[in-house]
Amino acid sequence: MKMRTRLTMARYGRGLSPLLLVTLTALLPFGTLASDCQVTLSRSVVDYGRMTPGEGQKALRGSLYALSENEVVASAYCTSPQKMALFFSGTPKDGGFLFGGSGLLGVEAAQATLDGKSVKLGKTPGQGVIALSGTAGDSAVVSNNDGLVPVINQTPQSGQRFSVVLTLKPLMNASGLKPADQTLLKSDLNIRVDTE
Amino acid sequence: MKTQMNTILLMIPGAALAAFMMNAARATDSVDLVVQVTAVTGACTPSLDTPVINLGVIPYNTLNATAPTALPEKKVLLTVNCTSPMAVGWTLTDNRTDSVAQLPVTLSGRQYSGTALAGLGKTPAGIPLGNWAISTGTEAAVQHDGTTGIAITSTDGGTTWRSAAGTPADVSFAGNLLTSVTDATTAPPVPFTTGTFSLSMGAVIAPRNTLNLTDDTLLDGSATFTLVYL
Repeated sequence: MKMRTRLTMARYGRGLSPLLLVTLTALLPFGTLASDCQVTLSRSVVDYGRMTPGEGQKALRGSLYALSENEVVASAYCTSPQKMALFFSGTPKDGGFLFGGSGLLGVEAAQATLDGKSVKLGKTPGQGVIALSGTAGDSAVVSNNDGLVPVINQTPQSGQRFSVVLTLKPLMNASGLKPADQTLLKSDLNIRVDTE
Repeated sequence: MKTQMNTILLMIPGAALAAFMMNAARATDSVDLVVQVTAVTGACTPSLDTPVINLGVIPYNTLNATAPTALPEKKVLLTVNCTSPMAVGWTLTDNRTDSVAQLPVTLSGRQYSGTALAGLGKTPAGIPLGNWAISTGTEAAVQHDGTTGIAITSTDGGTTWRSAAGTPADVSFAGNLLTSVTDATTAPPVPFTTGTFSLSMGAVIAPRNTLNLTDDTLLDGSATFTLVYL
């Protein structure tokens, strides 16, 4: 009874091993990429709840209202030290991102650290090669497709954990909203870590 | 021995696959950040302090025989109340367009003609009795939440605005002219909870010898204010 059971397992192994190996070979490159570096947020949703435009606040101009600023920490972690960049993408608007139908989400990055040490923030133009474009500073206004890199002495640095504090500055535009209604205004921002 | 090898081979891919699945589930190279707010908007209601402007009884023989007769100006206050601050404008539509006599009307030092005129009805013979006009007055007559503002107008649905600083704003009864209030000459409309527009109204009656009236005749003008949410 025991021997028969072993033989059955052997036949099962012989038949499926090549298939699983091929499957594993196909999956491993993706698994390696995904686990090599990952990006996390201190929170993925910043919800201002229900607000009536103009109630308790004065319009900046027209029907444009500034919502309170919020901070989110974005961290990239790689399993081995390497050059990395955080890329931001969304729907562009006026140097920031579209918020709702016609509002604006301004994003500023600051307080950058690499492996716990304070670094400057620089921008890198493309993907694949982490090179500094322009001059690095303590903070950076984030526009669509911007890539942020940790910089020391105007040189992108290698490391394992790169963190920045993102200050979100939404401007809600009440223009065009239907009267006596509720409208969800949102901005979706994708944050990606790329390595060289 | 061979059987054992095959068993091990089966187990290793299985373990690796399980490890991969775990990694793929928690590890990622991109994340989404969502920023959102639910905007709750109110609604506005317009009202006139004098919905019916009574010009009184005008003896026929007091009208100019060969020239139009201008009647004294009347004031009317348009108030727009909103449940929350909102940027709104209003349009005017003449409900007696077929009876405009095309007689210029002067209000607050500005002469109005064309689509700035509204009808007052006709004689039994079908002759226009005259016409009337309305003016926003100078900018001091426009307020938003108690603050004096500047009347502004738009002919493109609110995309661009023309300031009326120092002068009465444009007026049109054609329903295509938006009027609103702002803080500065180049700024778009400001949202308000209560907006007031102090309006002047003036009427001109056609020359007596063109009317040939024999009975009492009602001067019957009518216009509609329509709010437009901006």
